[in-house]
Amino acid sequence: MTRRHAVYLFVALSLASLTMRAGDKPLVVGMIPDAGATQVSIQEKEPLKNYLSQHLGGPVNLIIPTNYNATVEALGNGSLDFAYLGGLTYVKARKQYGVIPLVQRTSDMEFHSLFITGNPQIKTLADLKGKMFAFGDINSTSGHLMPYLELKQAGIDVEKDFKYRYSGSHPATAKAVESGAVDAGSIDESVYNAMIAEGKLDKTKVHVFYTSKPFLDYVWVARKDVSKADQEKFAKAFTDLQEGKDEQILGILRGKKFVQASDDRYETLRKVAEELKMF
Amino acid sequence: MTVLNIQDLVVVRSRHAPPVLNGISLSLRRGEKVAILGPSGAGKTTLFRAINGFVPIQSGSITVDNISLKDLHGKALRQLRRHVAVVSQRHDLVDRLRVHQNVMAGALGRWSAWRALRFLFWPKAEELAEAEAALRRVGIAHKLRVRTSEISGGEHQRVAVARALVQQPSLLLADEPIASLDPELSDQILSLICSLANESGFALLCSLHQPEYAYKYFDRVVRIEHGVIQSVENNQARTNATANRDAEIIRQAGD
Amino acid sequence: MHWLMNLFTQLRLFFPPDHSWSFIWAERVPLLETVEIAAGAMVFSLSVGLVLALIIGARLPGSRLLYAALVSVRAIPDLTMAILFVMLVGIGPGAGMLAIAVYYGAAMGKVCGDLFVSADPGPVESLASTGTGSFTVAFYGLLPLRLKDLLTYGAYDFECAMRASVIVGAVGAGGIGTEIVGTINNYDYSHTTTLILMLVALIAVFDLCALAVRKYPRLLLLFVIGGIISAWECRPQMFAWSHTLDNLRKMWPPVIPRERIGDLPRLLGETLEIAFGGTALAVLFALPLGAMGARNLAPAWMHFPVRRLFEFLRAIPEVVWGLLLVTMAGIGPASGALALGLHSTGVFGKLYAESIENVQPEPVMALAATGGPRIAIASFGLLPLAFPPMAIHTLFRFEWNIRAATIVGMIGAGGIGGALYNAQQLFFYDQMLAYLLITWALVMLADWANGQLRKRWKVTEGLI
Repeated sequence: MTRRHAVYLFVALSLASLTMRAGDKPLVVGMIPDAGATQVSIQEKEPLKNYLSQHLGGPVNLIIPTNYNATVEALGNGSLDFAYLGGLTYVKARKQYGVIPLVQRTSDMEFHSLFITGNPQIKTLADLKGKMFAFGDINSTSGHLMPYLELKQAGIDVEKDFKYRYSGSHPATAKAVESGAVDAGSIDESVYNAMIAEGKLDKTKVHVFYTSKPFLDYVWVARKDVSKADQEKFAKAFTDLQEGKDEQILGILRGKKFVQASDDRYETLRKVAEELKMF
Repeated sequence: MTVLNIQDLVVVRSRHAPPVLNGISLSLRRGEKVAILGPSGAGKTTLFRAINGFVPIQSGSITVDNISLKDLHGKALRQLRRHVAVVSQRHDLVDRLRVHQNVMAGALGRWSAWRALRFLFWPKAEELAEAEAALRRVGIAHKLRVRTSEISGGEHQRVAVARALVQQPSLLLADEPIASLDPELSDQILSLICSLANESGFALLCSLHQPEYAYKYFDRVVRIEHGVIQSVENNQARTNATANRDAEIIRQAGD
Repeated sequence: MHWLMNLFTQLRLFFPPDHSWSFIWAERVPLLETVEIAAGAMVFSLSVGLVLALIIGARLPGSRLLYAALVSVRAIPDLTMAILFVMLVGIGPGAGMLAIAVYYGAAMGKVCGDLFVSADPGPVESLASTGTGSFTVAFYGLLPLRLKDLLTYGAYDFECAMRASVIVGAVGAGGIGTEIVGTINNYDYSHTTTLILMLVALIAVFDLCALAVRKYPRLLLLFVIGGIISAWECRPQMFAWSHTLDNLRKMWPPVIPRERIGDLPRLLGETLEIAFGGTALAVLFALPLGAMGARNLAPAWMHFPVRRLFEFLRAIPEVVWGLLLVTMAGIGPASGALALGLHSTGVFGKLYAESIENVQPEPVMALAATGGPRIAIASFGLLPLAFPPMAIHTLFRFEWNIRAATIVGMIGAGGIGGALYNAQQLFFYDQMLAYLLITWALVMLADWANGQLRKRWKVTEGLI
């Protein structure tokens, strides 16, 4: 072995050591920023973090990356162990990094996307022609993919028939509609209902004028290298949640009950994503 | 008729330094030509700036056309400035404009801001004619539309004089107008402004370094040093030519 | 009009800013992160940049190739660089730090290389005649010869990199930029305003640091120590070699799907529209404002607030203006152009005012002596005289604005930058690379055209 080879080996080893993880490192849980990603929103989720670390029997770190893409990439480079993904981000993460679906809310099995507006003249999807419209994040299932499909089926060419923007998250879409920045928008039903219930959205200014056909959405996943035992503990932490007992946690998760998730249910979504060239 | 009257003028630059001008008194009548001689830093330029209202007067008074400069501000001051045209040693034309624009800058005092702007882009024929007439009087009518950066040093000075003519002043202040010119050009420029003063009747106050020019062209020669008038001589050779004019009583500063 | 109305209705939502201590305290973490990104990146870019510049200056073998490489790296806009590093080393401040380090390292190497190459050959040759190696010649000959220029440019580079450290967060590279995007996405606008005020304060502090470095270059040493510590703090913690390689592989070969090729002219047109529109808008605003900000033209009660306005407009980077305007007025080139316009107005305003202040006073005095109104004197004297430096500043900024147009495109203004960002978000990395190459070519072209003009006008980069 020449000296040069030795140098190469040394560099390779030190790089490899950078990527290795020590045993007692905290498990890192990530969420797509479907409701924003700030210090404040992480602080609001503190109870969830504590609950998970109790059930997993070790420290847990909660991270909300800036956008949906970053969450998936963080699963890819091993910086997240578990993550909360939307339907579209899930099929992408599954294809690229083989993530394992664990649990989802019962409501995710029959999820709806809502079309909301503050303009009384907008009554059907066709009325959206020539208007300003807001999607959520470009990778959002309920904020972009499924609404896009509905619009297409209603004969609206998104690129030509109206102006649109990506608001980046569901609350942003809701607020953009409320303030009149856009004429209408598409939003995740659980976020919308929670915002109305908490009074974060003015009922007199926003209403739902169209509800999409049901589809499969959010899911909690594990990176494929996470141990079976940790996966099971994580899933159990969610399936154990009971209405009336764990209100605070369920409130943060905007759900009532969690069940096992499986990959084959996402076949339809995969086809839609492929058809709309988002996959 | 008295055009300029300065009485006991004191100008200070800062409280601690000695005054730049210390008790200057001087007065000029229509058509009179006075030279001021003195070394650099004697206070000649400051005197000129004071007459234009650019430096505050500590004490004493300056009147131009019987209007006192003291305590004048803003518009009133600007109106008085129209009575006083300035030609100085160099660099006082805007190189990036054309000759006709520089010449008509002399009219800014009587033009509205709007007209001034319009002239820069769409000069009217009569305005150009006025500029050309002024240039003809200084002998370079053919340079009307030339870029100012492309004309020679002597022509530069002639354009500055033409601008002063357009201003139709009662008083022309020439601050070392020949400082950067060769002897031949110096003679040309000085005889030009003196003959224009005779024609138009404005008073001429001109600062110079070289006594020989002062005695050659001017009615009176005032020597100034350290902000004080040292001597005033009636230039016999010249005053003979203008004998019909009364000699102005010159009051010296108290010391 | 709908667009403008939107802007104003939305503007209301940003007030009043949330100034509760608990929020400001919570934000200390990202704020510190921003400082660390800046400091860490500076240590890298200054040290590596200087060594590269010396290699170029000494004309060592391969220095021409190195020079070409630096020029091409510099043509990748900093936010685009950040997105690349986010993909390669994972989200977080590490990506931001590396992106800025690489971009400004290349800038430093290129500009200082130019300085060295154009150094007085006399002393260098006499040193070389002693028969010593060329790197020694560079070190003992070039470095002392150009030390003053180096420090000036170094301080300028420092300022730019600090501003950049704020914006890289917009694509997930950590720091306060990430928080701004987060609050906007959360429709938490009163917090956005607070963050922006914090950002303005931070940039003011950065400016003071840069000023101090300009005055006392030895302080640089202090910053170096802080920078090394910061760099360690910011090291990418989410780095996985296999993942990086995997993502690189996904980028190759670059493709644009057939149905998207027809869009290219529109995308390029939008980017140029943002750059042209923004520059034109800024010139329009800055001409009167610059005159109002000139101390030799405007009274103190006017030039003082106008100057502060310039500082404010300039302190907020184009990307942050873009984020705000896209939120308030909707996506599209109009928001992008206005974002560039606002930031460039701050830049131009200051430069124009300085150009007006620096004109030779004699002709202007002569004009004032005619007793004309202020505006007439300004338009006959000050403005024509201040025109050449103003034109040069405008030209330089236009080149910069082409870069900036691709950047604000990424955060919603559309154009080629928007296409790049959407492709990246949707995991179409091969498409992303294609758009990146187009951006790169566009910036290189603008750079080259500007260089030609600069040669003709015989101006050097030192002017900015």
